[in-house]
Amino acid sequence: MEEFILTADRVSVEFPGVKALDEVDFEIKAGEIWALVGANGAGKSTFVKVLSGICRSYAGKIRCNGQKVSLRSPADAARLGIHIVYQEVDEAILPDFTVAENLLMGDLALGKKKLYHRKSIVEDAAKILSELHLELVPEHRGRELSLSEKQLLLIAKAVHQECRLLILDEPTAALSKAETERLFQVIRFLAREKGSAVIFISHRIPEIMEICGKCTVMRDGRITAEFEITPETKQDEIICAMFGHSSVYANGRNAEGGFSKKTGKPPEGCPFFEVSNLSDSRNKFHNISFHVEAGEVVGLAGLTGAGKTEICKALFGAGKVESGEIYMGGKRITIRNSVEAVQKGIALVPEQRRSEGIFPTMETAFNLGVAALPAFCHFGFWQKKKMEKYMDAYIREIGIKCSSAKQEIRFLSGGNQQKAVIGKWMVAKSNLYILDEPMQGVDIGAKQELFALIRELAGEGRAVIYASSDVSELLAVTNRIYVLNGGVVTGNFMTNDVNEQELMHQILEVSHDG
Amino acid sequence: MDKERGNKIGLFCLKQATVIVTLLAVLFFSVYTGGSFASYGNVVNILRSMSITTILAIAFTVTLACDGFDMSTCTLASCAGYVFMACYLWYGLPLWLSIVICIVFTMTAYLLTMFLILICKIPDMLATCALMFIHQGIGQWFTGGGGISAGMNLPDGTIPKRVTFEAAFAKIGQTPWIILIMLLCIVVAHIFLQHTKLGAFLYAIGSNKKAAELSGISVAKYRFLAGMVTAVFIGIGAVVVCSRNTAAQLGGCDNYLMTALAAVFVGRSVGGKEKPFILGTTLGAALIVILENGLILCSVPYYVLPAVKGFVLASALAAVYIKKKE
Repeated sequence: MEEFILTADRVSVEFPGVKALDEVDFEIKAGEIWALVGANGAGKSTFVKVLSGICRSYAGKIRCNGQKVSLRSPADAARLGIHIVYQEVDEAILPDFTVAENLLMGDLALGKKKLYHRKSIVEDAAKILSELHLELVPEHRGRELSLSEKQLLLIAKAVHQECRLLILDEPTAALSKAETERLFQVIRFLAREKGSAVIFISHRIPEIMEICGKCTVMRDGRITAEFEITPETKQDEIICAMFGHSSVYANGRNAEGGFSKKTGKPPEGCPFFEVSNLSDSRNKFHNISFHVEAGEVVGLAGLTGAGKTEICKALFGAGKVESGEIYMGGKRITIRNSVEAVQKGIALVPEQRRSEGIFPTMETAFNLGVAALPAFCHFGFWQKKKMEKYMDAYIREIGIKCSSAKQEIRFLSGGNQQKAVIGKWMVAKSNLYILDEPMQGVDIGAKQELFALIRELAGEGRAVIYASSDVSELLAVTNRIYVLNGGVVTGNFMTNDVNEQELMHQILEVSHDG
Repeated sequence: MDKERGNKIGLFCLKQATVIVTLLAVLFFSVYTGGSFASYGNVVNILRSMSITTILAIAFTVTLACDGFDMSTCTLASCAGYVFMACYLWYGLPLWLSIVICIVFTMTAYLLTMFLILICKIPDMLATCALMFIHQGIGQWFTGGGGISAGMNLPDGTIPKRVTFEAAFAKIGQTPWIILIMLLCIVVAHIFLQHTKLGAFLYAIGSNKKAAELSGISVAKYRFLAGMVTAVFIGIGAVVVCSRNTAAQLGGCDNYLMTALAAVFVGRSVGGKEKPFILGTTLGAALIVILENGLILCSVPYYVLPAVKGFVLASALAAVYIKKKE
């Protein structure tokens, strides 16, 4: 196989209001296994989308073997031999077709195989599978395969289509140890024997240390570090590069100054909001217990899949709860749906702002007022003018940048949209704010303002739950932090008593000396 | 600077395309027909023709405002028409009572629509597709397979209680009353959607169902209420159609579906609003009727007109979907 080098030269991707990728330089050669790490929203998936031809509107150059190429569709990528195996393997496998058919689907579709001849397909598939030392049975149906088998099938499919760069997007997230080991064997075989380049995306640092030769760390859309992994490499080096030592937000916090923490002060009576032994029916979280005082920002720290979103939704009545108790002001409450949650003064700022948080085609004023709409109604008639006037003042107060209260919210930047989503609940005078990854797609300047807004809420005596995977955010804004891992609370700190690295170790579940 | 201004004008033209096309159509027909299009008589004619379409399109607009879709609007109106005429002619009930019963019937029948959509969770389009057949079949079972008009016996041979129409009945379908009824419906529906809490919540649901739910709006409850409002307008539409035809014809309203749909979607794009609203719907209905009326005056054969309606609907839909790239 000929030599293969893929180079990205100052690749940038911009979404309205956010720079998802900021002049990224990257180079990978045949036979290398390269790790790509970074916190959520660091730009990994955007970068991978560019390489696989899904994100068409990128700026900058991509070269393949020195020649400039244009990656504007997945077909472009496939022609260059770039293949990607996503986390959601089910979407790429036809459940009613056999392993052999799935494997050779490309040949069938492209007419390389003119006739559908069952026996020859099975034979061809068996040959490909044995070459890769995969123990998949060609006659099995797609739906009968386990998750890891599906992954291996997709890798085999990519290899069969002359894969020169294989991208694996968090392949091990749901695999057992044995399955991971088997996957690694295949990856190593690919790199060594077949000369493929591999980009391996993962949150699990020990795995990266085990399989990857080089590591690129991304943060806020930029590459912040790049190093070779040797036996001497420490996990801490990678973690530091992922989250940076001097957090940009720490300054904001000091400048803020005004917020005092309730350290050492015993809680008076019962806590404002308390959750005890909460479990859901789908095993996404288990025996969760925590409490929030009025005037306090409590962090729920954890990676994607740790159960943050599920807990947030469950507390808002938008998810199923199997067992456990919720107390508010000392009284036990049940929250069966989101209407009840709002009536009890609970507010949710969902993780998916675009699809769940905003009303894109409605005015900013409407977005702010929707949860408190009855207050602007007189005998069922909506006093639109009165509301717009009130919101005009409110928009200035919380600093939403828009041309007027009547501007439709979809034209605002991510940060300003998020201010409106939080502001909606402030207008409704909610008491408990559940914020789920509220800084996603928000630029740094707006982040500072949002932090100030959240601290202000706490200052007014409201309670805030702040769920995030971003350590610097958590340290900047919270009073206390609960760490979640696999749906279980695994740690519990005062924010003042913990530093970035300790918290990161907790979240990533790695030991101190790595 | 000049380019920016050009862009602004272009954007304005795009947003106001419906208004501009309507005005151009009026201008063209007025000139081409040498004044007969713009005559007082013809303007009244146009208003009368658009009344029924507008009323049924209003029903559709309310459903669409909260992201619903009701293909069975017009088959239900036909059904309601049978009930109205049966009450009035067969059982000889007073006109006002017949109207009330007709509207109550429509609301009751709409419970089934809401049951299928909100409780069985069938997608709107499919549920109302099934309902079209249900309405047609049950309606005809009720009338014995035919229409209901004056002087006809009941299916079992009984002689109807009322043989001739009262003047008040006929008036509903004549000018100026039919136009006034339309105007009243427009005003009421406009206030309902734009200036009430319920209307605001419907638009919230229409804009983002999930966000509405997570803002503490009970989506099912408000969709149900929207359905009931829709039903009232369907009932009114049925009464007007029957009076206009002086009979409940077999499937008498069914043909209005596509025209009403076109009116709503044309209206949706008026002023670049991208959400259904009553004044837009009215303009949409006006545009379609103006085109129909004008083309007939230009001696285009009437059997070609569906194609015109089809093109208008297609362009309106194109305006809706062409922007939905991302």
